Amino acid sequence: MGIGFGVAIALSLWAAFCILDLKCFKTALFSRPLLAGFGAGIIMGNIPLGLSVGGTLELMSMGVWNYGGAVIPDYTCATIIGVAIGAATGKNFSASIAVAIPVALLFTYFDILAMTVNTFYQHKSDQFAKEGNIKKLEAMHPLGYLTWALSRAIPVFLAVAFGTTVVNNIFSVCPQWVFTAIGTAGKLFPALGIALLLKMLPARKYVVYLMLGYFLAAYLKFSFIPITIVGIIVIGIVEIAKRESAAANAKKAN
Amino acid sequence: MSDQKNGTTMSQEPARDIKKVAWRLILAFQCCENFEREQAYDFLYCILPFLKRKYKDRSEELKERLTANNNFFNCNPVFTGPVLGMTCAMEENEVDEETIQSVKVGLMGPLAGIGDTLVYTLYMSVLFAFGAALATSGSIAGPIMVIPLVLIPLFLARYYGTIYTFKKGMEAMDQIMTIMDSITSVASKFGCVMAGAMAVLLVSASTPLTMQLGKGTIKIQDRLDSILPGLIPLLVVGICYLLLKKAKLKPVYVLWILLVVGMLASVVGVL
Repeated sequence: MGIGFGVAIALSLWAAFCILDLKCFKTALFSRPLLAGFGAGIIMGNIPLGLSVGGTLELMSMGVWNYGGAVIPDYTCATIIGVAIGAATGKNFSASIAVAIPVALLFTYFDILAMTVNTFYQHKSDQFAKEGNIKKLEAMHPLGYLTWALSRAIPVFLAVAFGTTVVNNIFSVCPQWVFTAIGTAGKLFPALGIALLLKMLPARKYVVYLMLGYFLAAYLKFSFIPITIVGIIVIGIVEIAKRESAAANAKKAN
Repeated sequence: MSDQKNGTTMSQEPARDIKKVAWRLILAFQCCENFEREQAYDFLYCILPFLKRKYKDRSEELKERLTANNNFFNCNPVFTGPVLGMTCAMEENEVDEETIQSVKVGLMGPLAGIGDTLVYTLYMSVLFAFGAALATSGSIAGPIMVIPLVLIPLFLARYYGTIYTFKKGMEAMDQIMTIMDSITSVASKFGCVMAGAMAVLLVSASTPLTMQLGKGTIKIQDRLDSILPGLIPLLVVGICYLLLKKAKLKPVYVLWILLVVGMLASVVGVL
């Protein structure tokens, strides 16, 4: 059971659209695994798989954004290819995740490739700027769309059009423990995202807030929504106290 | 200076042009991002409507301005609006190029930092965590609810950020920065609460190891839980944090390490 040509094209176009969303429209919306997976699920006619793989990879990549333009694993294509191959081989969830993880890491090279190609445009634009040639500057810029779109559309197409046979073979050769191992490792990935978040936040200064979230989740076994509510209440109290003390000090000074 | 600074009426052409700039920000900002000068060309592309009109008949100055604006630029796209607005306001008033470039460079740093923290770390992460939790329990509401909640704020921030800053010039920048400070403070605290919670809720790691003690077997995980629930996930997060901060590893490398160590641990039976 392979993936038909038409479906492969649809998936490549979807991958191209998602990566353009990340790089050009910059909403970082469709490129997130949650939506990339949903879309792939619709294309493959297996929405539940799209949801579960998309959701899982989204949680895995939580907190991982290309801060300041850093290169990050390509969870977008990982999700799309994962859903596609999981649905096509009929092995569903476990296959999807097992395929997605290596893809995420390998596709970083295509990202680097695309950025390198863009350097060419940058240099050309220097030339046009020196010539004062606005027309060419305007005309060349959209070519950037092409670099990004192709950097993902082509590999995705190759992966889904020819990948299912390859993956099926790998599955029949590899013993079960390999997949369990990949799955276990994958469950650790969100830790990276969280660590990245902590790097971005003033974690040392606000370590009490970290502790609050941790203990609510670990001891009281709260889920996200109750933690959000308690968090807002606590922060609200702190802010109000700050303002009252500032007002009291202002009064004293007068 | 001219009308623009006081925020009163704006003549038609700049008004039309700044809208073009805003749309270029929204649709094409990182098209040509490259390692050498990041978003330099993208920034230049966005302000071309202004340069085109202003220096139509002054080609020497045009070339100068074009080259100057093709300098290194890197900022969070959602918060680049104010920088574009400010640059266009200055170009419109024909401020000297050096000043414009220094303002650009001065703004891009803080706005990138605040932007990345507020937009990605805080807003998007929490929003998508909710959506993903919904999706993994099979609900379509997950992906669907996220769409308007992202598109609308980002569009408003980029569109009005650009136009408002252009209209108000320097005034707007100060206002924006003060508001940003208070939002960032509250939002950072909230982000920390969430990060602490995520360590437990999103990382699943428990050890299946057991120990023989006399007549009974003890599950090590139960022992660990009685000391500190969620200890192993916390350790994993801590290790990642140290690798990123102290060892200064790139995120992709940490991921490879997690993959290899995770697989080994699973095979050996520790995880």
